[in-house]
Amino acid sequence: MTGGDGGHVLEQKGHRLVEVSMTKDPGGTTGSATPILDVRGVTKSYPSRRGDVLAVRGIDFAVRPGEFVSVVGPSGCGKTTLMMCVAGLLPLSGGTLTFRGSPMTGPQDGVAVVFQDYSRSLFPWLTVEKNVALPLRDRKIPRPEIRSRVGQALETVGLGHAAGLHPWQLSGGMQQRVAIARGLAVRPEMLIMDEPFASVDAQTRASLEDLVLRIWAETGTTVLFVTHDIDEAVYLSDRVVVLSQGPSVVVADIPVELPRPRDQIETKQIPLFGALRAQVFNLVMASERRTSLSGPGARD
Amino acid sequence: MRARGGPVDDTSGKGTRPVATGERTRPQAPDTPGTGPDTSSGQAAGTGGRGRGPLPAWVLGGAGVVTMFVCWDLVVRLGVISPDSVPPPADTMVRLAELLADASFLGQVLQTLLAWLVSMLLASAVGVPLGLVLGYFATLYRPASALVHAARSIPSSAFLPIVILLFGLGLQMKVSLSAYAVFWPILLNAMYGVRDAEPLMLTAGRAMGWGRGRLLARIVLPSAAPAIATGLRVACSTALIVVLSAELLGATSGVGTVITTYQEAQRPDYVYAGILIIGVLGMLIYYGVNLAERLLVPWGHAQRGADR
Repeated sequence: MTGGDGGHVLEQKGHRLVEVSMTKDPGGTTGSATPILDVRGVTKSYPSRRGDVLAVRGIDFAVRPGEFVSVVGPSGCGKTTLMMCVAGLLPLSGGTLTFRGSPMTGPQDGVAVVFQDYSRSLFPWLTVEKNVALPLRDRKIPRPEIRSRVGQALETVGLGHAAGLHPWQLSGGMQQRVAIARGLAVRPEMLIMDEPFASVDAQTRASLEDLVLRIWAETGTTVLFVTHDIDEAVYLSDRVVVLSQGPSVVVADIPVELPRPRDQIETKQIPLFGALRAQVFNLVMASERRTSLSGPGARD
Repeated sequence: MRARGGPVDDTSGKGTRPVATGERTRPQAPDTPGTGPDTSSGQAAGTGGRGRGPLPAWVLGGAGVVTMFVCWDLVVRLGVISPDSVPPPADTMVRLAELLADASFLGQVLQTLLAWLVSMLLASAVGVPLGLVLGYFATLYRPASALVHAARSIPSSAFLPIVILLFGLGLQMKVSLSAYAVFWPILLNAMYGVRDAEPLMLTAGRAMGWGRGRLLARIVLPSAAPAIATGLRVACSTALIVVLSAELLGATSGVGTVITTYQEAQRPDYVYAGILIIGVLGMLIYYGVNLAERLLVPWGHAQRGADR
């Protein structure tokens, strides 16, 4: 059921992105592989007292199976709104979402979401183990299978020893790893992460980034990673989608042709890393300057 | 399996491991300022030691009781208060022992406890579910809260004449007064509790494909549980006070009635012995409820004083 086993499509290093304007048909055959996720003209507005407020406008991008794609943009630009839409958690105001070739209307079984605020997305009344088992409960999976999957997911994030503890007994970084394990337990085809490391300290953040890269490499899951951190986006991704200030539109879709495996020190010393970083930085800053009246996007 | 994946495992694996072993269950430096107090308070509650100082809690609690008795004794011995109105503690303790050995007195204690228990059961059987419903539906919440705040500010003693007319001086009268008094804190806390459900947690539930029923059972109710427990804890103490007041004001059974009888018989030593017994009852109920709360909804203690 996971994209990771067997027939998983391997991409060449440094592949090109699917051109934004090229494919209009869902699950189109343009490019080297059918996108696992196709975002076409996605628009989201919120009603307010002074009429509708546009948070994201006409977002187009596609993610191919096994790709690691980051979405960056100035803070408050509607990244979280976009993520919620793509996860099927918010109804769209316009546009279409296609997941594995079929139109997407709500949360999908093959998608797991990891939120920024781990302390409020984990359930304090459940142990770590039971938190991770939560998404498996309604899937008619036999108990021993659930146990082994949970154990495996916790081992993957290095928390096998913490299974019986409660989330509030763990540090922030450990809690976020529990949240990641909960996402992994369902063996998702796509993992959506919404600024997952925005509230941990720098060292924890670096180690969590490498953890996510390792998981991505081991499981072959597709990752859509939302962040405001440009370095993080460039360091992790195959491609960086840059959003403008709200109402946000895609201003660029930049392939990151840095060699893998990546290393916190070596990768960041490669001149290309610096160049990409500067390119993304300029795009983000330019979009921030362009709109002096900041659109009220989602929360940060 | 993945072309570019292989070697990544090793490097990033090593990258994470030291941190994984470095962070134990008790992090020396919390990752975020936000979770710092969270974690430490959780552990304080978890170990149950509550030990700020070097002495265990029961020693300190006992010291408080001893101090009270010493002060009481001094006040009487020095003649600050006449022994006719306040007997020395030693005499009172003798009377207390007599009372505790007296089956008919213990029967009265049971009468008090019965009224307490029945009123608690009634009030929570109605208050908790009603509070959950009122809190959950936004359209009901506002109109209901205005009414609730008006109704709860009426002291239950205001209803005493009506209640006596309706029910006489027996158990029903005590129960109805007490149930009325504790219904409000129970109801209000259940109402607030439902609203405590964390929106992001609900979103996480929806991301796992849960519908309304599952969100309610798996997130809203457990989130409301600590607040409900708080309401019940407050209500337990209040119910005892109201039941005793009803007994002092004219009910025909219970510890309060016994105290009134001895007061009319000019026996302050028995009166104070009765008062002490009431105090001990209240204390036992408080500790019992606290313990139950800690066992049943430990996550409430964990989050108390954290980010709310």
